[in-house]
Amino acid sequence: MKKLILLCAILIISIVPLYVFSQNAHFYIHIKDSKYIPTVTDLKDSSGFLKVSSKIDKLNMVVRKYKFKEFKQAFPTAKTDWLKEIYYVDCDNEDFENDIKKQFVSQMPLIERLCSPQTTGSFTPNDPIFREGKQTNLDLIHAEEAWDIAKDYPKIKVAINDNGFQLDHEDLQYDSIDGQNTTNLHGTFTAGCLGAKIDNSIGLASIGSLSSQITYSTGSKWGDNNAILLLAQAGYRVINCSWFHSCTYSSIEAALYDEIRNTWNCVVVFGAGNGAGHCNYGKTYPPAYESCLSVTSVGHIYDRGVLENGIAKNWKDVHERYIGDPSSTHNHNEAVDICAPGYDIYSTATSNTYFTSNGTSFAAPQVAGVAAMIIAVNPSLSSNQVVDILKSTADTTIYDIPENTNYIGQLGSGRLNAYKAVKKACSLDFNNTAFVGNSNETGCYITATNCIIESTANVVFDATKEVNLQSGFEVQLGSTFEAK
Amino acid sequence: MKTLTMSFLLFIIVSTSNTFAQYHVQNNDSSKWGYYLQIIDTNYIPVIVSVNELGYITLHTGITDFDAIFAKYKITDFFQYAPTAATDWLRQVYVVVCDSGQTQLGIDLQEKYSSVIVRIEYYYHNPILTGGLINNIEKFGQRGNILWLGENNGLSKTVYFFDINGKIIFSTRTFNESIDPSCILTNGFFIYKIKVGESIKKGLYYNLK
Repeated sequence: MKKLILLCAILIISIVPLYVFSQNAHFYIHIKDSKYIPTVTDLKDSSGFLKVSSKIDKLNMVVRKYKFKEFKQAFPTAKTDWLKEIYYVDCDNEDFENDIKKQFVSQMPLIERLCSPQTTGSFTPNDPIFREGKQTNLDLIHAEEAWDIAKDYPKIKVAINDNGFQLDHEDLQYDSIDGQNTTNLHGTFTAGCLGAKIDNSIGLASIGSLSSQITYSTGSKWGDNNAILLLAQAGYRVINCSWFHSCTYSSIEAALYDEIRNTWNCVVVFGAGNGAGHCNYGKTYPPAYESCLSVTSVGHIYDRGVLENGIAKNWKDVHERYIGDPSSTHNHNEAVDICAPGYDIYSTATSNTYFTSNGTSFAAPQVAGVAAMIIAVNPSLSSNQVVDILKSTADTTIYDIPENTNYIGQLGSGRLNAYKAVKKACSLDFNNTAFVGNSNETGCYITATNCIIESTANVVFDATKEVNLQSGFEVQLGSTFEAK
Repeated sequence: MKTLTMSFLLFIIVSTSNTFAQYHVQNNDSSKWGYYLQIIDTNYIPVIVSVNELGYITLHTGITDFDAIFAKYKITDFFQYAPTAATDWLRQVYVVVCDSGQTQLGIDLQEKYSSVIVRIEYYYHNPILTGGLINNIEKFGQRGNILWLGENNGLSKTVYFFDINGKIIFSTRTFNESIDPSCILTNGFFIYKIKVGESIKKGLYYNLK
C-alpha cells in the first residue's frame, strides 16, 4: 500500500486565488461595546468612499484619519451573538489596525487583518477621472478585467505616430521620441487614450498603460508610411496612427503595409475617419488596406433610450453619435475591422488639462492599447493572430441594436472587448488531450477537460490566474502533475 | 465709398485666406503630392543635379528624352520610397514630388516609358487627423444667424467682432459650439476672430438680422 502511494502521482492542485491589485486594507473588527459602532452613511462620495463618524470624540478622530470603502456588519444573520458584533472594514491604510489596538482594546477586543481580500477579479485604478465615472468608454470595453490579467506581464514596445505631444504632461508617459517633437493637442490627446499613466492618482486611466513602453513618433515622421515601416523594423509590435492620407487606393502602400504586418510582425491601428469630411464616410487610406486595422466609433455613455438634456446622444454601442442623425457618425464601410468608443472620450490635453473630444483618432488608440495587452500577455502571437483575437472576441451584439440596422457589416467584427481579447490571448484550453513526457504549460487561465496525464508524464500547469480542471481529468499512476 | 469697397474686398481676401491657411496648417504644413514610380531599370533612376531658387529640382539620368519629360514639370523632390523594405519590388519604388496639378507628368511617363516604369500611382503625403480636436470645417463659420465655433471640446473660445476698419465691437467667451451675435451687432459685415487655446480663426460674419 505504501509502495502504491509512493508510485502514485504527486497531485498538487492549488487553484490560484484571484488576486486583487489593491492597496486597501481589509479587517474584521469585534465591536463589543455598541456605543463604539460608528455612524456610516449609505452614500459614497465621488471617489467611492463612505462618510464614517462617531459621537465618541476619540474614535471620531481615528475614523476621520482614514477613507473607508466598506464599514458594515459582517454576519448580521449569524446566530452566535458575538459574530453579530463582527464588522467588515475596507479602508485605505493598514495603520487603522494599530490605532484600534492601541486605543480601543477594551471596546474592540479583536481586529484581524484579512490576507485574502474579497476577490473582484478586476483592477480598479485610482486615477480620479476614472474614479469619477467619466471614462465610461473603458467600462464598455471591460478594461478593469483586462488590466487585472495584463498587470502581471512586462510591457512591450508601442509607438504612437502623431503630430506632436506635450512631453511634460503630468499624466503622460513615454520611453523615447522618434523625430522632432512640437507640442500639439491632437498627439497629446491620442497619447492619453492609449497610454496615460494608470493608477498614479492623477488625471485619468488608459487602456494600454500597463502593457506599453511608448515611443512618440512625430515631426517629419508623422504621417510618413516609411516611418511606420522603420518602426516595425525596429521591433515595435503595435503602432497607432490617428490619421489618413487619401481616399485613393495604392497598390504600393498596400504592399508596404502587408510587409509591416506579415514580415515585421507589427499591428498598425488606424482611425477610419470622422464622417462626411473624410472620404464621405467611405474608405480612407492607409486605414482601409488589408493589413491595417481600421477602427470606427460607437457610443459608450448612456443606455439606449436615455436622453441627455432631452437629446438622444452617445448611446452605448450605437454608431450614430446623435441618435437618428446619420450625419453624426464616423466612417463606416466594409474595410472597417472593429469599433470602439469614439464619441466624447476623456483624455489628456495640452497645458496639463483634460477634456472630451470625438474622433476615430481616439477610438483607434483604445484598440492599439488592447493589442499591446494581448502581445504583452503572449509575445509569441503573430500580428495576424493578434488581429484575429481582437476581431473574434469583439462583441457582435452591436449588430442586434435597432439603431445600428443601417450599418450592418460596416462596423467591422463588433465592438472591442478588452477582457475577452486579453483572456483569450493567454488562456490555454486542453480538450481530449493526452499528456506524455515532460511539459510545462503557462498561461493566465488553463482549463483541461477530458485530459489524461499518462503514467510517464511530468506536467506542470502554471497559471497566473486560475487552473480549471474539468470533468474527465485523470492523472495516471507513475506521473507527476502540478498545478500552480 | 471706393475706399470702403476696397477695404471690404481686402478684408474678404485676408479673412478667407487666413481661414484656409489655418485649416490647411492644422492638417499638415508639409503636405506633398506626386507619383510613385516603380523603376525596374536602374539606368532610369534619376539623380538630383540642381535646385533652383524657388526650390524646384532638376533630375538627370543622361537619357535625354527621359530627362526632358521631367524638365517640363515643377518637381520639388525625388527619393527612394522604402529603401529598407524586405519586399524586393518595393525597393524599386521612387517618389517624385510635384507642385499639385502636374497631372500630365504621370501620363507622359506612362505613355513613353511603361516598359521601365512598370507602376505609376499617385502619391499623397498629406496626413489628415481623425480627431475632433481639429475644428470640423462644417462646424465652423456662419449658418443663418448662428456662428459655429467648432467642436465642443471643453476648451473655452473667445470670440472677437471687429468692424471692417478693424475696430473691436465686442468680445465674448463661451464653451459652446455656437453663438448668435445677431442681436448684439448692427446690420452689415463684421470680422470675427475665434481664439481657442493657441489657435486663432478669422472669418466674416454678415448680420442680416
